[in-house]
Amino acid sequence: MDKRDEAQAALTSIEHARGELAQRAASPRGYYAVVGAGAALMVFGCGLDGWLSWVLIAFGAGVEASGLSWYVRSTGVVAFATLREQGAWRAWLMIAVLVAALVASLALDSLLAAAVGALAVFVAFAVLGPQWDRAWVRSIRAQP
Amino acid sequence: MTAKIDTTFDPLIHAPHRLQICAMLDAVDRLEFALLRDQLGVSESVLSKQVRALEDAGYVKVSKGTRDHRVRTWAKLTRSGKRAYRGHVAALRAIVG
Repeated sequence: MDKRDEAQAALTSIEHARGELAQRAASPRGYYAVVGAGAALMVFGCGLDGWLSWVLIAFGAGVEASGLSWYVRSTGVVAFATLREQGAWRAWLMIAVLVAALVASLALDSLLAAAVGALAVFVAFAVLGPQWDRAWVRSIRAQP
Repeated sequence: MTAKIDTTFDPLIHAPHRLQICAMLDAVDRLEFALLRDQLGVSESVLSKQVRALEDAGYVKVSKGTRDHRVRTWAKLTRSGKRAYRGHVAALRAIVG
């Protein structure tokens, strides 16, 4: 095997390793629904007054933390997306919906606004999350 | 702005298992040993030996953590490891042309 063939074989093995990893790094089914539910609880909690508000925010944060832990446990991967990958607009849209819902929930002082915001966050995460995940997995495969 | 990549063939990284370990670690922040072992299809001791070589060169950082009453070992590519790996890939590409 000459030097060129050896280099080509090495590059192919890198591509293969990345492909296998990408498959393993995909989020477990239902992951984004769980994370979305946690975020929705926090948004709804921000729209309430008194101790119930803090209970919901803390519970929502707990659900988020459990979701992240679930991902790491089931995949064996800790990864931080740069959000510059192709298809990252979905992640940015999820963040935008979350921020808008939090602001509305805190500023409008309306139970209805908090409930609508929480629902919007849950739907955005549950629908866009898996699409973003697939785009992220593709980007792992495509990396040099 | 794109960071300049030093095109250097690195014999330490070029060994097949070590190259695959670096390729996987470069894509994420940290990977569990069990995942690396499964992906490479090697035994724990073979994996440890390969990772140790990378660790000794300062390319990989290994850490341990306990979860669910089980010790889990994690590997992470260091900054110099990333630089060396990317330089090596660039060198391979230059060879292939």
